Amino acid sequence: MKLNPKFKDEITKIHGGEKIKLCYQCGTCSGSCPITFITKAYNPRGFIQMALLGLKEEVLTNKNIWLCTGCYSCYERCPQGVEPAYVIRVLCSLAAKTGNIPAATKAGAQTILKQGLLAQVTDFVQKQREKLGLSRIGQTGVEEVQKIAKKTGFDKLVGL
Amino acid sequence: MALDYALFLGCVIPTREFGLEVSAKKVLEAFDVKFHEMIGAGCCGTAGPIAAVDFLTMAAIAARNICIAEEMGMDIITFCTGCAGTLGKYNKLLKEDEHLREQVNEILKDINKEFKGKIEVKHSLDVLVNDIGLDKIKNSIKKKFNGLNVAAHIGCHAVRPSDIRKFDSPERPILFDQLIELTGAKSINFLGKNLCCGAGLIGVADDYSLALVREKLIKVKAAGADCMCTICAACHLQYEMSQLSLKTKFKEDYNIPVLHYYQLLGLSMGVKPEEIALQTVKIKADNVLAKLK
Ligand code: SF4
Ligand code: SF4
Repeated sequence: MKLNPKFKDEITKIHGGEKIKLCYQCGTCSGSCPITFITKAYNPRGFIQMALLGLKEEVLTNKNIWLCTGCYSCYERCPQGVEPAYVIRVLCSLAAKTGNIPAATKAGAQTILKQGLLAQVTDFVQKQREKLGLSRIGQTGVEEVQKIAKKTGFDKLVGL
Repeated sequence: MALDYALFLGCVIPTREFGLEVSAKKVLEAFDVKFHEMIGAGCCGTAGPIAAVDFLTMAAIAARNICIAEEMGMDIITFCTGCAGTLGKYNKLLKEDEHLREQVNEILKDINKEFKGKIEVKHSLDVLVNDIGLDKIKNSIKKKFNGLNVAAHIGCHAVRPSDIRKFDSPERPILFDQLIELTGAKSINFLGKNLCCGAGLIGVADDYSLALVREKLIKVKAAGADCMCTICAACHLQYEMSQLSLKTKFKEDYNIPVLHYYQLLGLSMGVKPEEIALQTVKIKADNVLAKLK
């Protein structure tokens, strides 16, 4: 087990991770979390503890960090204003940069880069819309989204 | 006076939740809201696949969408609480954080766009409550539901994070219940009412997603609900599809119709069921119609 005491400083430099050091491990986030309620494998307090201790590799390769639904219950309740939902998101983005992205997340991102939407615009969809008197789905700005992704390097991150 | 808005549809509504798009348009148009198409708008940037992977890409994609409405000179309205949260958050951040704005505008240069910070992002709930107002809605009611028990699920992103979504209390929201009760229906209490439905895990961890929504359905059923009522496309999808899969996978039949709020309101405004696409709900709502007097 390798400890990296500078890991927490790395996190505070990224948007959303600034307040991680304020965490005093009370567990309010995990106690409020619907995912922790379903599976103890997801534990925001635990992930934050690992990050603070410098267990960088362990936490970034833990695929469970991607299970946050973004319900923001922890965000509203954390007595220290750590904004755990955002801290978890920062952990995910750092994981992504070391190549640890779940297949489903990658696939979702690729769909957005190919379609402009996180959905398939099929003939069936267009026909259903017409039947209900809705206009067909037109341009989704996909070329512009691709240009943005190219410039930020997002396309490579998600394997395109 | 017409309320002109740039309509941001997002991903789930135009491709899967047709009933929400049809009914929201129908009902809001009755209150003089005018929708203008945002040509070239795409995914808002969404939490999972983009925001969790790269912050700056997320900010730029959200900004690109906001720029389209800025060029139209209109505030954005969206029927999706997720989009309202995402676009609302980055609209606020980009207005306040000069450094981020410069970074994002540098990226947007390549597509001839510039974030200027001239508009607001609103959810249709904000428009219903703040622009139209409960009194006006009340006056539009022609028929009332009699003895209809509704389990309301407002959805996380309608009220959280509360510094972005300033609609109601983030923990004990009541406005949505009041909106429901304008139709004569009763918004009932049930355990875990404000807990997440788990839709965010669809396709990511389907078992956990189903386990979470099952907990909710059990409580809704036990509370004696005749139907559920949602405002969010993802929540609606989750409550309908999960009931279908719980039935095939585990032989559990909850049989709770799930209506979009605009359908419930539309019915009591005297709008015909087909005009609010009631035929698109996957669990038949005949019991709901039977209580409309
Ligand atoms: S609620 Fe806040 S202070 Fe408490 S453990 Fe979670 S992040 Fe740390
Ligand atoms: S935002 Fe994520 S970590 Fe926080 S309570 Fe909700 S699911 Fe759990």
